Amino acid sequence: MKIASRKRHALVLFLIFLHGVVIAGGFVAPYDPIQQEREKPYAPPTAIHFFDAQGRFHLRPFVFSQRVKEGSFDQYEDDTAVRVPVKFFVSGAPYRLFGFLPARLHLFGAKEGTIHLLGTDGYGRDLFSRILYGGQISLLAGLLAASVSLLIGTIVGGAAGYWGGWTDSIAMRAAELCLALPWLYLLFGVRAFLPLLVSPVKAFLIVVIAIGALGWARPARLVRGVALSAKERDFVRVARGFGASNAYILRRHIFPQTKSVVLTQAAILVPQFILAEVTLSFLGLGIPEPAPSWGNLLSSLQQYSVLSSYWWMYLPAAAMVPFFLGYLALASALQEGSRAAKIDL
Amino acid sequence: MDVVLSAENLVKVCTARHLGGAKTAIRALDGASLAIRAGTRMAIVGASGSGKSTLAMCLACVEKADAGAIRFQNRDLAQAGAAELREVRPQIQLVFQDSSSAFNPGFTVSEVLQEPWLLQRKMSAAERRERAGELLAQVGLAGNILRRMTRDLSGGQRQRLAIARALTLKPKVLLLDEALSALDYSVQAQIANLLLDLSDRSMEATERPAIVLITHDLAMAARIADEIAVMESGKVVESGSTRKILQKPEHAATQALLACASASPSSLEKRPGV
Amino acid sequence: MRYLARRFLHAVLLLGGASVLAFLFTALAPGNYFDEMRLNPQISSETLAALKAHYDLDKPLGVRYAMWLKSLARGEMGYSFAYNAPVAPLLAVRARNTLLLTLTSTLLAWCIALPLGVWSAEQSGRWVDRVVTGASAILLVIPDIALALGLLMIAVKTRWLPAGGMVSVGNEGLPFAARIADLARHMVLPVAILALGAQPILVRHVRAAVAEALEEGFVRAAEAHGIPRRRLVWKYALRAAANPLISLFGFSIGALLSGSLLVEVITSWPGLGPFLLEAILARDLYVVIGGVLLSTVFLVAGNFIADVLLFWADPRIRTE
Repeated sequence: MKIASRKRHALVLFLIFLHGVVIAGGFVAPYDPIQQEREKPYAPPTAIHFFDAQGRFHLRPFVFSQRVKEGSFDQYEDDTAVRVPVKFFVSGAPYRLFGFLPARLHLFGAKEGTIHLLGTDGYGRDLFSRILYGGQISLLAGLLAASVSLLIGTIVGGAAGYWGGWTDSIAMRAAELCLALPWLYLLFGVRAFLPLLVSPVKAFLIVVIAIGALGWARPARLVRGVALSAKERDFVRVARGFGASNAYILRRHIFPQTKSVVLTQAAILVPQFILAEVTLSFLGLGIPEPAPSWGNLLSSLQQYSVLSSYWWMYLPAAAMVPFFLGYLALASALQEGSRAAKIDL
Repeated sequence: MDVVLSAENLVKVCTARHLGGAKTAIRALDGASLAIRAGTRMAIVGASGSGKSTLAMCLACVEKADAGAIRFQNRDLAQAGAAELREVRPQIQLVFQDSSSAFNPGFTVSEVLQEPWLLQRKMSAAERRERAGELLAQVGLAGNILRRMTRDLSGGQRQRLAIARALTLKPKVLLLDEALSALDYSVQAQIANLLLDLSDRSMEATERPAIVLITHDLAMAARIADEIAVMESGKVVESGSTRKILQKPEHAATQALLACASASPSSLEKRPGV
Repeated sequence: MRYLARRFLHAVLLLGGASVLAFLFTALAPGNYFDEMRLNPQISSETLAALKAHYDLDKPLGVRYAMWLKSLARGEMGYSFAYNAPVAPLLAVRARNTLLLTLTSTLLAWCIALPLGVWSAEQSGRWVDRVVTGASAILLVIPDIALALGLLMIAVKTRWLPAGGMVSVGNEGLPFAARIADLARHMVLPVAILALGAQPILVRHVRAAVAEALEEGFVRAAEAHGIPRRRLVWKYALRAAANPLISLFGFSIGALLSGSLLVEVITSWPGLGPFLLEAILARDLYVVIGGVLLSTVFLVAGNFIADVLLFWADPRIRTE
């Protein structure tokens, strides 16, 4: 058991670190995500050097300015004459830390030139910055949508399991109906049938609520199971014998038992819902431009030319992988934990 | 001594489903009647399926009988309203055989004991803590387990805790449904002695709880109880003082039980001095 | 038998409920197909009203649902506004394309996952198991969109496979064998993406089910009797592991029409997915309802088939 909980702690820390990097996106990213540089569309990632053209070693890393090659429009070459040092903790474009604290400090930057760690997109926007800001939106969408689903699911499932009878029948039939319909099509339908041309904030809320509202059925079933078995336990009978009201029993005895199920479901639903938002945005039904989301960062890949020539545009997809790793490993660790606990009892 | 709790002609029918969907009705209780006097020690014995547990659950108002009456201090519980039941139910406490689900796994010992007071009385936090400590001492548990989680306790400790919880509101009747069966012999002996202490003769009859032990272990019954009631097929077929039951059994069921008892008749004698 | 009849009735009722829900939902959504036209000043409002009446869009919901049900009984599924054609044939073609893809990939996925899972369970703890479990974990962590785009990028860069679509241009003129070959080459990428994507979940479940079955008392007893290993695993353990696997198989069938949406869009495969997406965006009412319902039929049928198979395979269910 101890090893399992250490593993869980390590995974949680790992996830916190990843999320921390993204949350501090404004600080970590050198540029504003919507700032365009029309003269540098699809620039490849800037190479970081320690040895200059003469072969001398410099402790402070530096980059070369990129300029378009003569005679082409998307081939770049380095201007090896000018060395642009990379400085840390520089002042740059203003942003709002955590959404409200105005700040100007960035983790790194190249004042006299530009440093595009992961290249630029079609409008010359820094991809690294867009991935960080986009991550904020996609991750938040996944987390919020999962919260919505779990909230609805817990309330409906808890009520169904505890009160049984008609409440249970209706709730479970509704859940079955919901689960019988193809989820992705339903999601697209819901999204598409709501106004499409809305502000990014409104679009975000619509996406979160749509995904969350459609995902209540599975958690509801699981919570119902917990409530059903919990209400038959002796300690509930005893509490009732002492005059406990339904509200007391639900609060003190039933809902605390659902904690482990809810946590495991959360670890499973969050990546699923992040993926849902990414898919929606990828197909143009999610977060609209110019606001970044991992999904709409990938949508340019639908063009053959981008797919074949600009490989760095794939990187937002790769950015999702460590997060999924964290969440899925946590989910499996939680499931192991609860199974072990059951054997203990 | 007055009758504190009685059952009159209780009937309870349960439906059992067979493979293939056919249902048969089983009469768990078929006109069972029993009278429990204040402050006494009684044992209900019988073979498996005789209805002992069902009778205990009905007496404790955990299950509802289909017919018959249950009277507590001459009040008919079937007629009682919700408010009256709320007052009466804490006075009839039931301790289960399987203590594993008797407590909320997430509760500490302290929370388990304080729950009845939180629900029924207005006591200050300090008073509750003090009373909890007293109860623990009464059932032979060390005070330092107050902070422990219930799932960390041993079987014997759990049953003691269950008894302590049952005593929190000073009940008039304490029913124990095979509560000793799952424990090993030495622990059984300790709990048996605890029960004897709780209903010690030196206290007033109205001060001490009536103890009703449901068991299939005739030796344990003889050791603890003054009166024994024998059940068979949902009815109480014979009842009387322990001595009479053991020495002059009248009903076939009683005789069969005595014959099956692995201990020799001499060990079925009661603890000396009682 | 009564059990099966009950399950069948349950499936039919579920479909009925789903159809009502889908109909209600799409019909209640704000806006309809003709909204775009409304913005065009050249189309008079009378024309619009006439168009709407022609398509019965002005009738109340209940009436429309009843009419749609009636046409369903005749084998039709309403009319597409965008294509100006009946819905059923349109859906049929697209569904056929999708099924071509998903049937192949599901078969392939199971053919890989079943032996791999069984082998892994058998060799539990040893290097085979570790490699398989590790590879599964890696695949599981890669989201579908990343997998699909990644493999597409590789295909495009290496030029080994066509970069999308179902057939090459000018395909009709080729002889039959060449046409099949062409189709097959186009299928490789999407089938690979789907089959790979399904691996981790399938392998994990197969492995878990078989590993648990191998621990069962009666399997160990058979082992003690000297039954050879191969027979032990394939005849004894697999039968015991059948229940969860059959349910999983039911899910696979259920997802035949609805699980490949993203892959079809990314590889430009002309299947049901992109078609429905387009219809949703254009508010082509009956296409959407028809498509959603078709997918639901497969989902419900998948569950029902699983029920039937379980009934046949598990004697315990028969005696209930």
